[in-house]
Amino acid sequence: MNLRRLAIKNVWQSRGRYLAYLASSAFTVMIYFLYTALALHPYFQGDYRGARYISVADNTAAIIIPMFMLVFLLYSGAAFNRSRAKEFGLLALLGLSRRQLVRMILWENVIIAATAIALGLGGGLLFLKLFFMVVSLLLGLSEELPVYVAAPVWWRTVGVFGAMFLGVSLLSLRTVLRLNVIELVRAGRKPKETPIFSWWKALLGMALIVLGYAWACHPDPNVIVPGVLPVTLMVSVGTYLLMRESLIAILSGLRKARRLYHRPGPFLTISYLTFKIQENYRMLASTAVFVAIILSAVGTIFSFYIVSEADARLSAPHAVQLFIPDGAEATSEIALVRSTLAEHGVQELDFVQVRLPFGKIGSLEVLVAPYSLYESLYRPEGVTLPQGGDDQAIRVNPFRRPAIDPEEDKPTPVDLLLADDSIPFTAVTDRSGRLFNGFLGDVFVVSDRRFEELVADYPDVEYVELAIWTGPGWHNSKARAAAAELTERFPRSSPVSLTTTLETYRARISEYGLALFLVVFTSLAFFAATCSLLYFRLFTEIDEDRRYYTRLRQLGLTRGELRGLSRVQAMVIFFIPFLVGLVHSTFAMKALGTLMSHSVLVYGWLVALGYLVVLVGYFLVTYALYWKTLGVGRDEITMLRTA
Amino acid sequence: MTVLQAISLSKVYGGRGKVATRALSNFSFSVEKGEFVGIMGPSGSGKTTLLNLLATIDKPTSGTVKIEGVDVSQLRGNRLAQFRRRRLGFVFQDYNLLDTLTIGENIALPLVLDRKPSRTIRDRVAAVSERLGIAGVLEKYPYEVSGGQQQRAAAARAIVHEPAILLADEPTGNLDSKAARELMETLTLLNNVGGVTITMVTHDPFAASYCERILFIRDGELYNEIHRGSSRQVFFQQILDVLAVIGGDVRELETSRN
Repeated sequence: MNLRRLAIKNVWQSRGRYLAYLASSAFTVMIYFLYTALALHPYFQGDYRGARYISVADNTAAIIIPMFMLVFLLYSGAAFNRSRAKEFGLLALLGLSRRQLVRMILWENVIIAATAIALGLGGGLLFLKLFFMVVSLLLGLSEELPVYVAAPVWWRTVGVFGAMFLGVSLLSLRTVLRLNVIELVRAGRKPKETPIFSWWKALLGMALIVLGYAWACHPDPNVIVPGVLPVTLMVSVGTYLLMRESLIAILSGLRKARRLYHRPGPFLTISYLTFKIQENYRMLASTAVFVAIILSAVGTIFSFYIVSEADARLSAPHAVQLFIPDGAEATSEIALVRSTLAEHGVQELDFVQVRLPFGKIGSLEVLVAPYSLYESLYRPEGVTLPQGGDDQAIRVNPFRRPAIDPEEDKPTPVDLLLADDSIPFTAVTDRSGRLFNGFLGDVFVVSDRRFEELVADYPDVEYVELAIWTGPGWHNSKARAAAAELTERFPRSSPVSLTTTLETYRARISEYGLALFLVVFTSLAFFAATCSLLYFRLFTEIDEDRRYYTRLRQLGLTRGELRGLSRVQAMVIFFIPFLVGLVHSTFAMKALGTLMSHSVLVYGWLVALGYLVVLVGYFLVTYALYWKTLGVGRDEITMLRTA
Repeated sequence: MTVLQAISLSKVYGGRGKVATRALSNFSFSVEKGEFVGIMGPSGSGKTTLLNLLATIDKPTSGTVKIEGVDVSQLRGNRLAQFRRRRLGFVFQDYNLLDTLTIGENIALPLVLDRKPSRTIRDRVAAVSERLGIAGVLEKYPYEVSGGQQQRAAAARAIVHEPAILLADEPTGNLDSKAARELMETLTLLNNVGGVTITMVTHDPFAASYCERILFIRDGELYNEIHRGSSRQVFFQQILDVLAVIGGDVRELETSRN
């Protein structure tokens, strides 16, 4: 038997242990492959509405997936080799030279990497058609994207993952080579060190997390935006530092509470967890960070998706609006809107037609409007401010955003420029949403009398005409059908431009829908790897755990008691990272709420709830498998004899 | 008072298409309260099978085991586990301490499982560890103390809940001669002063010489039974004589292992 054969045999014999590793590697390869195929698709190389999301997807795929994969491979590779150290030691003892051992391990890694990549590419090919179908659907493309798999997609996937597997296997070789034979043979029985609490680590970790949370809670969006990356880093590092220290602190605290500790369940669970802190805290911390990333990313896009209706209504408050530039004739367009609305039986919309002058405040172009118009127009969340005297004005900000500094909301002197004249006003600001569909800049509202005067005095400045059908009823089925038909029938060559709430809403939904799809898709890769980390943790230590439970069994613990015990211990491993990740992501959602000026905590928690459901399902399956493999539940004679 | 009673125990392995092996046939004996009984025999003689039956972790093909008058073969599942937890104490060759617990916690384990009050636990652990000379290592973990200390901790754990009988399976098997001597002296002390009933399986004649009575098994049957007189040296010689007759390899005549 040559070394390659030995390697193949090794892989085959420990296929159970390799399975999770292989499956999640292959899954990640598949996702990377699909992303690359999408990012490099010729269709998106040109000018396209969703193109910016595609480039985001591309960056996600190019950086985040491999980075994440690296963390995962490093952990699982290390755990895997550690679990096999004894086997390597025995082979060395039997006379396998270092060189041969290295070659054997390398061969094994090559086999695994090749299998994972092959499976991933195969899976990718299999789902490529479906993937493009879903993307086409979400982008609302009239025809489906053609399947695209050119050479660059292949070599990028193979190159990135090949390099990563190679790097990880070289790193894991280092550990094996550093130890001498006896250390390898005894690796399984190496005594563990009792973890010691470190004040500086605890304080630093705490400080980083508190600072990160405080930053995320800052009320000013301008402070939050530059904080996204540093806060993520700070909280991640803080989690690593604090995970170990807080586990030590909590567990040793519980250990001192004798009345609680001196009962069977807590006694065994707390001591078991203390014993395992040192080798588990890294895995718990990375899983917690991954969970936080998944929950925040999906929560963010989900929130965008959910609030996109409100968002559409804010950016296009009127069901239908025609923008008629100076001098253009719009009789036929107005007639078209009227007849379309009538055909669909839409009656509840109010019609307003106005002609407004453009003025300037400083260098900013503003539209001047009379108070009666401001008062009468429907705005979904708008607040109508009271009218002051003739030299008072209301400045309507096009973005719904609270004042950062309360000073900004005080009446301030403003000079309105019309032609070359400067007209003084005292203006207050209305930040409750825009007055017209689309971005037409600030609107400067003056009293009706003043408006008449201005129109009379300045007939030669630039004017714009607006025809508006407004009211809360845009969302009923008649209005939607009318708006949809109108969008289709409206002449494209017309100088008049049409904006409808429905069309704005549709554009938002298709953009966020695509983003949501891509983020959920990436999260699947994260989730798969998180799951395999958990799976790995359970199964690499299964021999040790079996010894532990067998001993308890011999001391007279019942099968049911052991089952309860092992379930609690496994639950800690599964759900501590989830809870920590949930807390982190809650702060992330708080920050997002500030950015969107709309609380989105509930949406974040909804996403977390979904995640929890999947996690519980995964836990039940994995735990059942673990318990079966552990064999402690079998009839006791067989079990005790094999122990 | 009879603590343990084995009545015509038989154990057949295999069957149902496989070749049946008779590990134990029609074996009877009893242990009185306060006795220190040894069970010896060559490899494959059935002594481990016998201990497993006594320890209630294996079921006899026929015959009964009674401990304090309770027929343990009638107990099932949880009740059996509880019986084992409360009325039996075990000392194993590989100590069988839990790595996750300190020495003190390992000793406390049977009391914790029995939901004894915290104060009782502390007092009993202190008393037992004092008696076994391991009071100084209660806060340490098993891998931080010597094999001898581990085995004495295991013995402490086996008696802390005052079981009806202490069952020991090759307790000196992993110990050097000095540690083995200390352990056997400790067990003798427990037996003499504490009145603990002990049944020990061993193939170490030196360890066996501390017993009051030794049963020899050969091919699953009782071969011989000898009682100790006043001198342990004489008893040791008697044991060697019997072993020479019933066979077993030379290694079994060594006085110590490792």
